Formats: sequence, C-alpha cells, structure tokens
Amino acid sequence: MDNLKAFIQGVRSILAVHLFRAKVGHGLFWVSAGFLLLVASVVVSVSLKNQWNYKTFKPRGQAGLNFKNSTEMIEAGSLILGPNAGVSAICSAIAASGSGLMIQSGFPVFTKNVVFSVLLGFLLPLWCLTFAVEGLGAEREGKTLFWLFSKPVPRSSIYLGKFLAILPWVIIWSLGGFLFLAICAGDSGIIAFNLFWQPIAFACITYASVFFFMGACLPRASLIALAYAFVVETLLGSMPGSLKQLSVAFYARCIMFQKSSDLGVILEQGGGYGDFSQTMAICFMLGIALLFLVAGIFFFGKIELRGQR
Amino acid sequence: MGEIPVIHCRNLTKKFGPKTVLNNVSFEVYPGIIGLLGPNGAGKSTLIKLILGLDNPTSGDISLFGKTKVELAKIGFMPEAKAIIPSMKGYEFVAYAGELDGLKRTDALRRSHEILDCLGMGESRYRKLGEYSTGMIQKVKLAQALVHDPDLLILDEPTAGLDPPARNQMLDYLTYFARQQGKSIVLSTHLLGDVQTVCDQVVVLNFGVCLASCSLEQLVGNKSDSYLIEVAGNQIDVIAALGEKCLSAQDMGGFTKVFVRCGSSAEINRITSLVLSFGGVIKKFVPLEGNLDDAFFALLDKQRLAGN
Amino acid sequence: MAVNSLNSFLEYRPWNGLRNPAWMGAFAIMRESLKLIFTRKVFWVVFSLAVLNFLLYFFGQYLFFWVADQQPDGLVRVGGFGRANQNDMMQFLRSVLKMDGSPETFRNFINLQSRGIIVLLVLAGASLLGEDLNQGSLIFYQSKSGGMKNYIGGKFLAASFLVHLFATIPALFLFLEICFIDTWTYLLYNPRLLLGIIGYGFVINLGLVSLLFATVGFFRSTIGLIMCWAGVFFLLPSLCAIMIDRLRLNPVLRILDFWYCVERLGEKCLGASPTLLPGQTDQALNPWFAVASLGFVFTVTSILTMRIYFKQGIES
Repeated sequence: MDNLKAFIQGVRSILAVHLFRAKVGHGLFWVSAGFLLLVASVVVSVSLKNQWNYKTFKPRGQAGLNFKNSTEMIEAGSLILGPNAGVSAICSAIAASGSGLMIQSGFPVFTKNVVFSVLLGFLLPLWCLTFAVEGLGAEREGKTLFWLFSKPVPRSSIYLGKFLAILPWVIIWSLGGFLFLAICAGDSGIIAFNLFWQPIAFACITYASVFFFMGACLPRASLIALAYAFVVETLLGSMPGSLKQLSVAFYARCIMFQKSSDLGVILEQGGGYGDFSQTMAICFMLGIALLFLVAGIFFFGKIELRGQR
Repeated sequence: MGEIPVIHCRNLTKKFGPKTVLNNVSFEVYPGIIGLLGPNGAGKSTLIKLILGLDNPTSGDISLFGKTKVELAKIGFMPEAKAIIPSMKGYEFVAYAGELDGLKRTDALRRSHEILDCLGMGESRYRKLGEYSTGMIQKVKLAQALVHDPDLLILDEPTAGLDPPARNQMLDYLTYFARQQGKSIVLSTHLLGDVQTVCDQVVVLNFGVCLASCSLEQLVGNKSDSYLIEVAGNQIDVIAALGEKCLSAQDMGGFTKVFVRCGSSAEINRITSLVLSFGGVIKKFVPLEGNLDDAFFALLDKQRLAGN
Repeated sequence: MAVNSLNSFLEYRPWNGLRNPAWMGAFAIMRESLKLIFTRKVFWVVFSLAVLNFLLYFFGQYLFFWVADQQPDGLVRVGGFGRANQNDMMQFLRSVLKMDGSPETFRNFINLQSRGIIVLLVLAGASLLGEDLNQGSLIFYQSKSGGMKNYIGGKFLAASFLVHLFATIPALFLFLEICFIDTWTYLLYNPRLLLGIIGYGFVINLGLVSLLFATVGFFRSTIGLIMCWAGVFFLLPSLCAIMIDRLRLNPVLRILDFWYCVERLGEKCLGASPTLLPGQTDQALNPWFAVASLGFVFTVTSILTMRIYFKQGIES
C-alpha cells in the first residue's frame, strides 16, 4: 500500500515538473514542422486548383483511362446516338450525375492520398518519434538520469510520469497537424478529420509508448526508432499481404477503412482491412501500448547507468 | 622598454548586437608569460578570438609583434573546449595539427614525436584520443599548439580539470617554454594561483573593461612596505609605543603578531630597537608577501564602487 | 619549485624548416576524413554492394558484345543452361537491361550507384562532419593557418572523393571496358558520353555534398540527417507523384523533387532519352527547370553552410 502511495506520489511530482519541460531533439522538431508545412503546402495547392476529386484523378496502374475520360465517352456516346432523343437524354443525364458525383468526391481522394498514405505511413511515426524518443533518451544521453535516480522516487514512477508528461504533446502535435492538413484541404478534409481523429489518436498513443520504450531502454535508441519507423511502419505497412499486420498503422487503417465503409466509400480494395472489427483494432493498439509501457517499466527498473566519461 | 609589444590592443571594442562584450580595451604586453585574468563572462574568450583573428572587432585594432595582420602560423592556440578527434591516435593528432599549420607530412610526424617526448608522453601516444584522461588530453592539446614552433602560445584554461600534480607539471612546462625557449605565452584563466605562480605580466578584465595591465609585481606589490613581527609574550607596551606605525596586532597567546608599516631600512632598524628596548624577543620579522587574490578583488571592488 | 621536474625533459627544438602553403592543409583534412570513413563498417557494406553492381554491369556489357559476335542466326550456348536465341538475348540485354553501351546504360548505372552514395552519406556523413561540431573541434581547425576555408575545402574534397569513387570512376571504367572489347571507334563516336559521365558525376557531387554540409551543420546528428534526407529523397518524390501523376497538377511542380532534377540533369549530360518514373504520365521536366532547382538548393545550402561554419567561434 505504501509502495503504491509512493508510486502515485512519484508520478504526480515527475508529471508536475516535466509536463511543461518536454524536450525535443536538436533540430528534429524543425524537421517535423517542416514536413507538416511541406505537406500542407501541397494540400493547399491542390485545394486551390480544386482538384480534390475524381475528375482528373488517375487510379494507380491504369494508363490513359480516368474518370473524366469515361464521362466524356458517355457524352460522346450520346452524340453518336444523336437522332434518338430519349437515349441521348439518358446518356447525358448519366454523364451529368457522374460528373456531379466526381466533383463531390473529395473525401475519398484526400483520405487515400494524404491520410492513408502520407500521414499514417510517414508523418505520424516520425512526429511521435520526435517527441517520444527524447523523453528519457535525452536524460540517458545527457547523463542527467543520475540526478533523477538520486531522488526518493521509484523508477517505475519516473518512467510513467515522464511518459504521461510527453503524451499530451504527442497527441496535440499529431492531431493538430492532422487538423491543419484537413483545414488546408477544405470541406473534404473536415469530413476526414471528423471521421478519423479517433484512430489517429489511438495510433499516436501506441507509437508514443513504443518509441518511449525504445528511448528509455535501448542503446542508440533514435537510430533503432528511425529504422523501425521506416522499415516496419512505412515499408511493411504499405506492402500487400498479411505482413503489414505487424505495423501499428495497419490497425488504424482498419478502423478508418470501416468507418468510411459505413459512409459507402471503399478506400482500398483487398487490403485485408475488413478482417479486424473496430473494437478489436482499438484493443490491439491499446494492448501494444500497454505491453510496451509495462515492459518499459520493467526494463527501466533494471537499467544500469554507465559512469560519466 | 624598447621591445616590440607581443600584443598591442588599441581601443578595442566588440559588440554582439546591443551587448558590449569588450569596451574600449587598450593594453600592451611584452614577451614573457602573460596572465589574462577575469571572472567568468569577463570577455576573455572574446578577446582571444579577436587576437586570433577569428572575429573582427567593432572598433579599435590589435597588432601582434607589431603587425596588424594576424599570422596564424606564428600562433599556437590551445582551446578550452575538448576540441579533439576521438578516433585519432595521440601522435597522429599532433602531426595532423602540424600539417594544418603548413608542415610537410614527414616533418610533422617527426615534430609530433619530439614534442610528445618533451612533454613526457610515453607509449600512450599510440592510443586513441577518445581513451585519454583529462591530463593527457591537456598535454596533447598543448603539443598540438607547439608542433609548428609558434612564437606566441595562447592557452585557454590549460589547467582546468587537472589534479594538483598535473597542474604543477603543466605550469612547469609553461615556465620552461617561456624561460628556456623564449616563447611568449598568454595564459587565460580564472585561477589566480596559476597566474601568481608563473606569470610576469597580468591583464585583468571584468565586464569587458580592462582593469589593469602591468607586471605582476606592480599589481600585487602595493603592500611591500608592510611587515609582520612576531614578538614573544604579550606586548601591549610595544604596540602603544609604535603608535601609528602599527597597523594591527593580535595576541596569539604566548606571542603577539604585530603588523607594521615601514618605508625604509632606517625605519626597520628603529622599530627593531624600539621593540628590543621594551625587552621583547623578536621571533620573526618578515615582509608581507603581496597577494594576487587581494589585489584582484581590490580591483573588482574598485570597479564596482566606481560603477555605483 | 619547477626546476626539478624539468631535468627529465628531452630538449625542445625550435623548427625552421620549409613550410607548405596554407591551402595544402585541405588535403590533410581530406585524408584524415577519408580515413575516418574507411574505418566505418557501413562504408564497406555500401562499397561492396556498389562493387557488385559494377560487376553486374561489367559482365553484362561483356555478355552483350560477346553475344553480338556470335553467328548471326545461330543459337548461343549459355553456360550449362542450354541454348538461347541470339536475337532474343540481344533484345533482352538491349531493351530490358539496357546493357548495350548506350547513354541509357551509363545513366542507369550511375543512378543505381548514387543510391548507394546517398545511403553512405546519410549514415556516415555525421561522422564526416558533425562530430567536429559536437566535440567543439571546429575551434581547432579555426586556429590553424588555413582556417575554416581549408576545413570546408578539405571536407568537400573528401565527400566529393566518395561520390566519384562510387559513381564517376566505375562509370569511366565501364566506358573504357567498352572501348577495349568493342573498338576504339566507340570513343570517337561517343565523345559526348565521356564528357557526360564526368558531368553527371559533378552534378551529383555538387548536389549531394552541398546538401550534406547544410544538413549536417544544422542537425549535427545522424538522426536529424536521416529524417531530413528521408524528407528529400522519399517524401518529396511521393508528394510529387500524388500531385502530378494522380491529381494532375502542373508537371512543372516536379522541380520540388530535388533528386528527380539531379537525375534529369544527368540524363541531359549523357544525352540519354528521358525515362518516365513508374506511374509518371507527363513529359519529362525541362532541363532548365532542373538546373534552376539544383541551383536553388545549392544557393540555399551554401548560405546555410557559410552561416553555420563561419559563425562558429569559441564558446565562452
């Protein structure tokens, strides 16, 4: 009981000290911000051209044919069938409704191109990494852990307190970034944000937990974390087949896939994103987060500090 | 003095934005060991940067050996920062420094070994710098400053982090290179003891202002007319008889410490006979050593009072 | 007090020998930097991959000219694997692998090699430059007679040497190989190619090394370097692909893609026919835009480099 009390007290004091002193690696914050601005400017330029729709969108791997072409073909068909006024009217009606639909199709295009691929597969892991690895990693590298360890606070509460101190920043930065991109994309972006902020937030927590664990317990943590982000999240996560189930992004995509399916938009055919129900995916993500948190507390308690050079 | 000053600063001012780091600093120093003294943030490092020509003064100018153009090949600089390449071996690093200062590769290697021998570095020169202790790193840094045989050595905190034997050794090296090899050495430090041990001339900086630039004796020698007499027994009569001459007195139980001021040897004789005439036994009669600490703090105090 | 310990001194000797001019120091810096790189494992891994790629092209060329020498209509024995039709093989080597000594051969080869250079510089670049900034060794270089000019020069030479070691020199070897196994008329007919190889080498050199200087100077760590270069070599191309190939914005936007611009310029140097990236539908970028992009990157990175390396002083 006393142990628990000391633990909670420790977490509270660490949180109080470190919540507003979260450290970010030298220059890494600027890379994160730079990436956000870069993607945002691309999104803005697409929005300005009003291109968030299927009008000119070319699906992957199909040369030549796009939706604009096909509506034009239907219209052309109506001209050929000229004399028969009825057929022609039907054809142009189909064409008109088709192109109307296409202009309203910003949500799936934005989701597929920005949220599904760039944000979830590249930006989000890097953002979380920027904040989370340095949480205890900077103290380890800077040899200031000695100071923390000399305080009458259990190690487990140092770990948990530091984690809780960085978590809000990770979530604020990631969701804020997402919101920024969504606003840049206009209406379709706002729809996407309303629908997807939950899976993004869950993915954030999981990433934060994984990267925080790496920073606290592994040597050369930033390199390992970067390798993980690129190899597992970016590469494996976008591969066909079931290997991508290893990545955290997969479960976030599952939720997003099903949420948009409810709206009648199929984001990716045959990605296997329907295999996990939303609840299951959330459980998976939070489970991973918890697993790494517990493992981190365990290993962090066993860490031996090297002497100062 | 007819000599050319080693460093001659004229109205040197350096500003970083609105902050004045050096304010109208003028001094000239002559060959020998020159102590550059000042508390942290006094502007010592900035002054060194200007002497090395790594930065330009806002106004004023510096000449080294009478020339305004800095020839880095004639200067050896030992930085305060670690400034080593951890993956290099000791002798390689020194030779590398020599090469950067224009020595040919073979010459640089030979010189490197000579200097390291001279500094008493044995086989450890074949180890990587990353494995060196602070004392060895300081030696290698001194060696890399000496390898191209410069006329002027500028040493930034050469004794920082050294234990007392290593510190003494480092100071020995400095005296050796200055006295035997005729190098001029600028020793920037905030350790007053180092300066008092080895330096001939002192430049005192504080808040970017040059408070003093003179020989060490001039700075600390203000008290050379003070003497300490230890007289056996409690000698109240003597003290009373001395009157104004007595600065202060302390009863140490069994003997008395009397501090007196006397300007000439005649006066010394007079005081001695006075004490003897009261039947006192003089155990000790010594001049009070000038103390750099006192002189230094007196300078800082003076500046503070003037500021107020 | 000092005198006793001085007796053990070996005598210090003044030195009045000849001195090299100050700029020679740059070569010492280059030599030591390269030594540093050569002690890294990552160098040897990337280098062996690059050698494998070189050997592939070397023997690929050899095979092409050997097959071309066979009877015009016969079957060619391929080791113990049986026989293949000569025309089919020629066709395969020429249009699929493009190992026919054409400009495309050299373009593909150098493009592949430069991927290796990027990986090498990203992983070892921080130890080439960043450690001096972190260790505070910059002041060591500043206080030497050559100063920072030598430092920048020496490090530039070292990084350039790596670039040419991986790209230009093996490409020239391939060129020489073709001269030997074909005839020397190959050289007479393709002087442009020879110059193009060297030109492409220098374009890569300029682009990558200037980028390296600025990014290492700014981030000072491998992590920052990897993140930043991932942005340049991974995020930018995929953004361009989304904007141009899938959403049909103006193809000129591809000037954002720095590496595409470098490859486009190389293509122009060699006189190779433009290739389209997988999924790319627009026409290749006007090379002048590529020059502008490269020039912009070079200017910005140079300014950054100057600001970072020449403003560093003694930390007081």
